Amino acid sequence: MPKIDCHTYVGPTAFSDDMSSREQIVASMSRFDLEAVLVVSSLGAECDMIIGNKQLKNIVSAASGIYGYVTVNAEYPKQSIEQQRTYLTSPDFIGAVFAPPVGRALSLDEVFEVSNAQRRYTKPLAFHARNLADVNAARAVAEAFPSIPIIMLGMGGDAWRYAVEAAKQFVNIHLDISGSVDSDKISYAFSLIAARRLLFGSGLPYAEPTLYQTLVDESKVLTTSDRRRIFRQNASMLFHINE
Amino acid sequence: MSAKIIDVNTIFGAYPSEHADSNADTLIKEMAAHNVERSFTLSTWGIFYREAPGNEHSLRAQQHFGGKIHAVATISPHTFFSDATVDLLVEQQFALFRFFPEIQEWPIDYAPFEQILRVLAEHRRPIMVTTSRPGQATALGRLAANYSAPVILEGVGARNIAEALCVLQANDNFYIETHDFKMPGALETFRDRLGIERILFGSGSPALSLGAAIAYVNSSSLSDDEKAAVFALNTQQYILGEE
Repeated sequence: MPKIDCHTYVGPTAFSDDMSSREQIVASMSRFDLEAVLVVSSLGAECDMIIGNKQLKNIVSAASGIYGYVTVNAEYPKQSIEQQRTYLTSPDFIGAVFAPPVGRALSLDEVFEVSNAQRRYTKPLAFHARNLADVNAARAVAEAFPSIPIIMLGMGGDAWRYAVEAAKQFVNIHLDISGSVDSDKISYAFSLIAARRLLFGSGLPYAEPTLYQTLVDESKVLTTSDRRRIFRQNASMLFHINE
Repeated sequence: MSAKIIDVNTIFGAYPSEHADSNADTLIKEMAAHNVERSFTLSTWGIFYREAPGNEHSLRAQQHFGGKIHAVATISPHTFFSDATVDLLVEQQFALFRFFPEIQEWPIDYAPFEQILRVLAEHRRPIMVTTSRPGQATALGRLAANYSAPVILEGVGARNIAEALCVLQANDNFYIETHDFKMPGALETFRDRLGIERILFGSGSPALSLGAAIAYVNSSSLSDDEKAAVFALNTQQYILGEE
């Protein structure tokens, strides 16, 4: 079944360079049977938003199925809005993602200005949802900006039940299924919010797409149609990829 | 490929936070669904509540499910008052002793734990210790450097995999369990640096996805013989002492 991976990174890891260049990303897409990948700059997320986005621009290519999230940083609202202006009009960039602060969660106050600016582009806004505090931050933004599709990358980590609860409460929240590999995660999410707002994602190259493909494949409550939605259709509609 | 599988890390029973149905019957069904021949398992009671009834549960599961289960004992250093506790468990023929410093909130460098290891070492019993936090594997490497039996690091993931490599390099009797490996290339790195015989398959099932844990190993570039070693042969030879 064709898949769109909504949560990947460009950059080397200690174990591989599989996602370090456009050619390597294309090879990884082939290896994991991915029709398209949505890529975050590791450099942008961890350190340098400006250079990270610039490098990412040279890698993304809708023709190759490689799309980018432009990184924004709550610590730099003016520069972030400039980054949105620079990249979000391009069809190669399908949304923005907040750089995750180290050791704490974002607050609504500090992301408000950049989130408000995101409304102009009618493209999703993603958050690294690593834990309950991150889930709560993303939920607050979803509540404050109901017109913006909010994506929780990593589905809240071990706090994935809270991410599902948040998505049940706010219909503009979409969940990337990467993060923990709890055996009942997909079934639980499906029982509360159905398949429409579940997005296939992995965190590649930090995690194998095969892990999350298996979670979907082995969930007993999903029909073939549901799986198709999660693997591809939901992302295709949300990000306008090969619709 | 379809190799024989022995899962060195399963846990059955209720959790204090909501988890998948994790009773022993569920574990056995999961094992059957994924062709797992045997599992090392213990009751959640021993981890979260009291070790004595938990260890009893684990032994009962072993008796009830015949050759499919190897009962695992656990001892909490917080309530360790007598060497006789260890002696009694050794007499009961537990296959492995597990320790949970993270959940039970005690440091590796901890006098009661040191004493437990001293007694277990006299009986040459393999141990498995959760070392998910940076620094824990290092501390265990120092504490158990001369331990007389295998020591398995469990819970090693992206943030402490380099530490685990160093610890295994320095300690020939140390092994690594795979359930928290998610990164492409991690298995290959351990194989190249340490040898395939130091890697033991574990899943965290039934709370975590057994299928995903198996898929991770199968999707690696290890040869079929190497996968067979990881899935079962290493555990048979080094932990169980089977030919």
